[in-house]
Amino acid sequence: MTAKFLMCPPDYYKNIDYEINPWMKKGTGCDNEVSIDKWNELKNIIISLGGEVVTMQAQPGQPDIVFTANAALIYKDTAVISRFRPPERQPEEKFYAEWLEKQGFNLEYLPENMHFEGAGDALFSGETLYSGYITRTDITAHTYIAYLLNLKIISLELVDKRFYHLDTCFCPLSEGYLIYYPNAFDEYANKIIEKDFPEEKRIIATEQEALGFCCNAVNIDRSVIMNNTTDRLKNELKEKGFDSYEVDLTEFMKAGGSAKCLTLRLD
Amino acid sequence: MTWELLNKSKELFLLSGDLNSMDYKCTVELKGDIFDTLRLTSVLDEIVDSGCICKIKELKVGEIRSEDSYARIKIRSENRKTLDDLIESLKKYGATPVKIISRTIEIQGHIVDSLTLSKILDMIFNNNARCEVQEIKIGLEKKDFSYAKIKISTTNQQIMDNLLEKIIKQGAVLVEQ
Repeated sequence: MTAKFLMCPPDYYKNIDYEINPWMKKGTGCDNEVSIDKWNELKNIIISLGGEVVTMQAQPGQPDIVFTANAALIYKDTAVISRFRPPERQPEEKFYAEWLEKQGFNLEYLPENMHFEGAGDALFSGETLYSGYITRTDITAHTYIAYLLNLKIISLELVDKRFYHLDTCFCPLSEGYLIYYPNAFDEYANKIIEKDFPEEKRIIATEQEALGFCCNAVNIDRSVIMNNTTDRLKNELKEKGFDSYEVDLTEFMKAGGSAKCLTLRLD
Repeated sequence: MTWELLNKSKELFLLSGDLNSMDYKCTVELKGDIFDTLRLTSVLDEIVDSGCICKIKELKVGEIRSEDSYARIKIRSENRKTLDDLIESLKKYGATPVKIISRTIEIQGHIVDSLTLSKILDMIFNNNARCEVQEIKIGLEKKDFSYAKIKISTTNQQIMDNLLEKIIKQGAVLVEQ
């Protein structure tokens, strides 16, 4: 099956006008031309690796809509639409919902005041859905979604505000491998990860690598696309049988996102 | 504080019998210089003399002269009036009834595999509160939910409030009292 991704061009991604995570500094300028170039570079790498990319229209006044990973959780033909905690991102919900509905997805909504930020906080490894909580997503949303979709959900508590979404510190790869940054999780989450992922399948990121958003990577089969990272990590990935592809996504890191945040897996 | 006094306390504890056979209960606490002034010994003597039984639930010894010692004692009686008279009488030693605050929470979901239940129980113990798991159902199949109903008790309202705030963030809901 072809890996299919939703992306949204950074047409209105220019300045940081609000602060909703520790990466954002109000007033920081983002180079729009560079952003568009790098976004296209990411898109082209995905296509070159056999992936399919579909796009939605950007919206003025919604710079973060470029981070489509937060649109929804996709499971088979169902899309569980996000309910953003920061009010600044809540207007994005309707645009994501409209687009996904047009693509034929059945839409599901969470109860009001139950926060959930889509595939940014919910990542499959095999049949199990791992979901982050505390900073952006409420753990009650995990139970709701598990019941709604008849899924096994493992809840992982995030304890470092810099890694505010699960996809900033936890990246399941094909065949049960995982890149992750242990210090982003509480001790219980670390025990779960160590139990669920055998040591030889776990690739531990250093703090420097994690702060370079190495865990915010796009995985297609045995390829991993990420922001520029260290030789150490690329070598370890190589030893495990994965090829690394780097894109300089510095402009997007100013808003707290990188490769994975810029994509939503649809298949 | 002397070893003799500590041994006396232990002796009284051993004499205290079966707590569960007594219907009326109250917990008292006393703090300060409770050993050298023999206040603790007096309290324990009076409990035994009244026909009530007791168990020392907590005992802290001040490590330096200026540091208070502390005792929390659970008392049970077969008779309401005997217990009330005893509690009134113990006030002369500075023993005051402790109000136990209890709240019950429920939690469900994949709380075993996510270690959420373990985390909540650890939170309770780490905050010096107590709990009673009143009901637990473990999901039998991989995707089945588990469920737990837990009664939490503490003597301190602030501890309870802080604890509930943390536990609710773990997905627990308060059961209406």
